[in-house]
Amino acid sequence: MEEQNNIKEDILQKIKSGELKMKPKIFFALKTSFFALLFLFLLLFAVYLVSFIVFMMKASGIWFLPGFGFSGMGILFGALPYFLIFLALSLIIFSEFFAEHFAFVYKRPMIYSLSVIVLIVIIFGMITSQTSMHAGIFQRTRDNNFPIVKPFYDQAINMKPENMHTGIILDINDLGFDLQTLDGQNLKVMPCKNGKGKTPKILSIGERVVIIGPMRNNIVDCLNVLRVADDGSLTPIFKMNRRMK
Amino acid sequence: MEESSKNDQELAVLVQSGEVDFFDILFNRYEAKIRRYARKFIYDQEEINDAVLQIFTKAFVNIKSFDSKRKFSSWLYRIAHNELVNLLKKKQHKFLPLFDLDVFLPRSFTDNKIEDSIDKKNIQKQVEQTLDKIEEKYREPLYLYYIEELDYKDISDIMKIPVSTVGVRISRAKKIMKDLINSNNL
Repeated sequence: MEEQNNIKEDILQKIKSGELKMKPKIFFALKTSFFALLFLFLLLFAVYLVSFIVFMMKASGIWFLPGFGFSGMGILFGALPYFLIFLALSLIIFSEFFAEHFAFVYKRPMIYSLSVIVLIVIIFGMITSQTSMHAGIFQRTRDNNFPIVKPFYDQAINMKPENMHTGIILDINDLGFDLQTLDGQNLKVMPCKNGKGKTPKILSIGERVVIIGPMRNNIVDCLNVLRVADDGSLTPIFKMNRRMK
Repeated sequence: MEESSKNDQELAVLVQSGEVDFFDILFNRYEAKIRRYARKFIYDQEEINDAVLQIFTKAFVNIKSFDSKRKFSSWLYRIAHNELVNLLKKKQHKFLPLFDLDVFLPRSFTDNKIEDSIDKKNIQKQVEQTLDKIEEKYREPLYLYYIEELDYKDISDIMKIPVSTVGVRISRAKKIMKDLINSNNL
C-alpha cells in the first residue's frame, strides 16, 4: 500500500510540476501517417523493383529462356538477378512489418496481408514493366549519366547469360546466318541441330531471334532458336515444350 | 481525488482535455491489476515497482493517443505488455521470436465463452495454481482471459496478434494446464 502511494505521489507530483507532459494529439497522427507513408513507399519501391527485374530479364533475353524447355530453365536459374530478387523480398517483408502497425492487419493471420502485398507487388510490377517507363529511364541515364541509377540499367542491358544470344539476323547463307547482338557484337550462327543442319526458311533478315547454344570464337553452335515477334511473343522454330510471351 | 461514477473512457477523455487530476482515479482503479499482471512476467518486487511507475508514466504521456471509442483497459494493458516485454528482453538478453507460425497461418478455434461460464471460477483457480509453470506465450493470453476477464478481441489488441491465435493459445494453454494438474495431482 505504501509502495502504491509512493508511485502515485511520484507521478502526480511530476504531472503537477509540469515535469510530465502529455504528448499532443498531432504527434500520434504524424506517427500513424509516418507508418502509412513508409509502408506505401516500401510497397512502391517493391513494385518498381519487380518491374525493373522483368525489364532487365526482357532486355537481356533471359525472360525468353523458359521457351527453350528444360535446357532454357537451367540457364534461367543460373542467370536470375538474385540480389534484386532478395531486395524485392526484403522490401515486401519490411512493408508487412509496417502494415502490422494497423489493427485491421494484425487482427488477421499474417498470411492474408502478406499474400495481398505479394499480389499487389507482382500485378503492379508486371503492369509497370509493360509501360515504357524503364526504357525511358534507361535512355535518360545514357544521355545524362545519372550516378546511382545508371549502373543498374547498364547491368540490365549487359547481362549475358552463358549460352544464350539475343539479336537481329543480318544475313542468311548456306553455313547458317549472321547475328548482330543487342550490344553490337557480330556472331556466326551454325545451322541448328534440331533443324537437321539447315537454317529454317521461315527465318528472314532483320528478324529478332534468341539463340541457345555454346559459342567459340564468335561462332555459335545453335541448339535451338526462337523468333521474337513485335509484341514480345516468341514463336518456336523447332519443337518446343511451350510457347511463351 | 474521490472515486468517480464516471467510467474509464470518460475519465481518460477528461484527462486528455487537461483535467489531469482525474488520472489519480484511473491509477487507483488499475494499479493493483497492472501490478498483478507484471508479476506474471517478473518476480523481483523492486523491478515490479519500477515497471508500474514506467507503465503509468507512459500512460499519462501518451494518453492523447487513446481512442475513447475503445476500452481504456485494453489500451493500458497494451502499454504494460510493451513495457514488460521490453524489460524481459533486456533482462534475459534475448530476442523474442519475430516469427510464429500461429500468427502466420489461419487457425480454427472455439470460443470458450459458453463452456467457461459454467465453471469459470474453477478454471480461474486452476489458472492461478499452474500459471507460473506455463510457457510465456501461452501464459499471457490465459491470464488476461481468465483472471482479467478480457475477451479475445481485447487480448488481440494488447498482444497485437490475430484473434484466432489468441483462441488457439488459450486452448493449448488449457491443455497444458490440465496435463500439469493431472501429473501433479494439484
